[in-house]
Amino acid sequence: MTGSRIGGVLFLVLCLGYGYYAGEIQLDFFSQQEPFNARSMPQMIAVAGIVISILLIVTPSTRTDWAFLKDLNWKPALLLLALMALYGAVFDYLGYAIATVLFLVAAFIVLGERRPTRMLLVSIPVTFGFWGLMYLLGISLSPGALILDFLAGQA
Amino acid sequence: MIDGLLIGLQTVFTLTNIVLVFAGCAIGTVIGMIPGLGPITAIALMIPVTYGFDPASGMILLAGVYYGAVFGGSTSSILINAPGVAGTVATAFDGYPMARDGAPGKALAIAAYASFTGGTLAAIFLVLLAPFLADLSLGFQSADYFLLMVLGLSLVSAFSGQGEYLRALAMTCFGLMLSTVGTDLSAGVQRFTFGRMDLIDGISFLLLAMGTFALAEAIMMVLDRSRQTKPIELTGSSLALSRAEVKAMAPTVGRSSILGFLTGVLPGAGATIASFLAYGMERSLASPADKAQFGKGSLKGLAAPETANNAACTGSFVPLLTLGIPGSGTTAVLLGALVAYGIQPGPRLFIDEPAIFWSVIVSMYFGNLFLLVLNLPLIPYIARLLSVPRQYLVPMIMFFSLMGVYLVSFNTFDLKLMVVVAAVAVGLRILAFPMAPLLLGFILGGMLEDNLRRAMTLSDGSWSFLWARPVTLCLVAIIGIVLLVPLVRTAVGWWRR
Repeated sequence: MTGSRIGGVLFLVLCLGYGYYAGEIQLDFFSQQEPFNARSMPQMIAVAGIVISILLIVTPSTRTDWAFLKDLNWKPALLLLALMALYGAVFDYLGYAIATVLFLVAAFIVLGERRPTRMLLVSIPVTFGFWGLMYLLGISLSPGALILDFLAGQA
Repeated sequence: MIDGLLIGLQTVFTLTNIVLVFAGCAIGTVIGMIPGLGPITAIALMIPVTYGFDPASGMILLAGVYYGAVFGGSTSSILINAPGVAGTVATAFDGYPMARDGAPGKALAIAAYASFTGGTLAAIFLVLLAPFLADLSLGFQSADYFLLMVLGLSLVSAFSGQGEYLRALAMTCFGLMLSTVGTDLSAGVQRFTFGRMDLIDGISFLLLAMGTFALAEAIMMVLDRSRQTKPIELTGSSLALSRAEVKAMAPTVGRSSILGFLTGVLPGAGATIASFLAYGMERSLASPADKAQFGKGSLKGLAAPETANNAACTGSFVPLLTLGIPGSGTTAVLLGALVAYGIQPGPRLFIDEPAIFWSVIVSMYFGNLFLLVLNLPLIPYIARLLSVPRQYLVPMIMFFSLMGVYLVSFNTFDLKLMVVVAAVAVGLRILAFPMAPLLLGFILGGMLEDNLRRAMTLSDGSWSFLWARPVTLCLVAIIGIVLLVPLVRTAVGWWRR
């Protein structure tokens, strides 16, 4: 199956779902009488999308050789995506500084770095350098619930 | 016009703004040099920084970043044969062979001189054309704007690569879909928020730009091992050009400037198409002896795409500044930045915000000058960035992208959403779906809907506004041709097979 066809099928599913939810947009009585309301544009886009995805599926396209997928470096790429999601998830709890140093060190490890000194020599100055720059610009980065709770406990 | 230019010069000629042009060029060069990271990423990364400045200074910085990123892209094309952006692919055809054959300094110098001349000539064309177009577009109605935007979106797809037409259309549609997420301001109705408060204001354009470009490119760098190449050593290579070389390139630069500018003005065309067109034009005009040199380190083969891509960058500002319609992914991001500053680009910008309008134009010229005078001698040092190991570069790109988005909203939901966007973008890139149309569809979606709503309301719900006036009828006909020609061509090719 070609890349276009796979994309076409996925896009068709997306457009059908989008079209369905477009019909679910809540409108009051007056809006329903208007020639153009909050549903109009999404419904037009859904119809255009369905037509385009059908064309993607039915028109001939160059055969894709999927052998290249085997050569891609999947493991670190997926780990980095997971790491970024985790960074977003723990940011409020751990705070900017701890979360960022841990994120950078973990990303270096995922990409093959094994020298702890070098990892810390890069991640710590970058984290605090950025924090300092933001401080100068008057922007405060979250210290995190962990540190705030700890400080509250000390007090 | 002279008054306007003076306003522009007055705005740019403050210490802060001169420093910003220079900083923009330098930062743009550094980011644009990293293979895969182009002007869109560079501008998106810098937008949060510009929130601290007034809009004119912010735009001056971003214009500098734009030119710097294009110049940086040329550097990586020449030194490692890995174009930073699609607009500098043609630069690698002759730039890399020239560098490999022992003249990397000369190749970079030609790129810089050609870019400077192309950018400067195009800035002059822009000064002459933009006020005229802005005046003309003051008479445009909602229906005209709606159709111009549809034309821009259609042209982006029509000008996409061979076999990419439908995929580009699908991505445009996807961008339009994403633009409808959030509260519909005209009715106060929530759409596609699925009850999440985080989505009430819609998806931020910066999040989408960073997710689809910066983060997705960083992941692609890790995925694709073949992208890891070593740069050609620059030490000791002369940056000087002989008089004969300059004379040989002069006509090429002149022709490519005009072609590049006109291509850039067309919505949807832009630097990539301009550079390929200029390369093709010079190759077909060259003598048989010169033609044999193309692809092996030809001076003209390098000067033509470099001139044209810079001229096209300037040309792409014409629809943005005069109509408020971005013609490319990069100008779409710039439009997003302007809107974030609370400024609505369009014909009124010329009248209401002359300082911004003219300072952007003046800063383009100074950006090019800075690139030539300051960046070129610094290139041997900046090029060392190409030797930074991937295991350090990729996490840094990720960190700055994530922080860039977080600093706008201070909401960690955006970080998670951005990771999802990046993952989807990587999947789409693997399936060879282009990203720029998605961004353009997203940025234009809101304006498209507003103008269509107004046009429909004025015509009592009838579609007659499409053919009611000669202007709209012409635009509908052009859109029809633009959309149908590639489809007919595909169908004919299928039939013959």
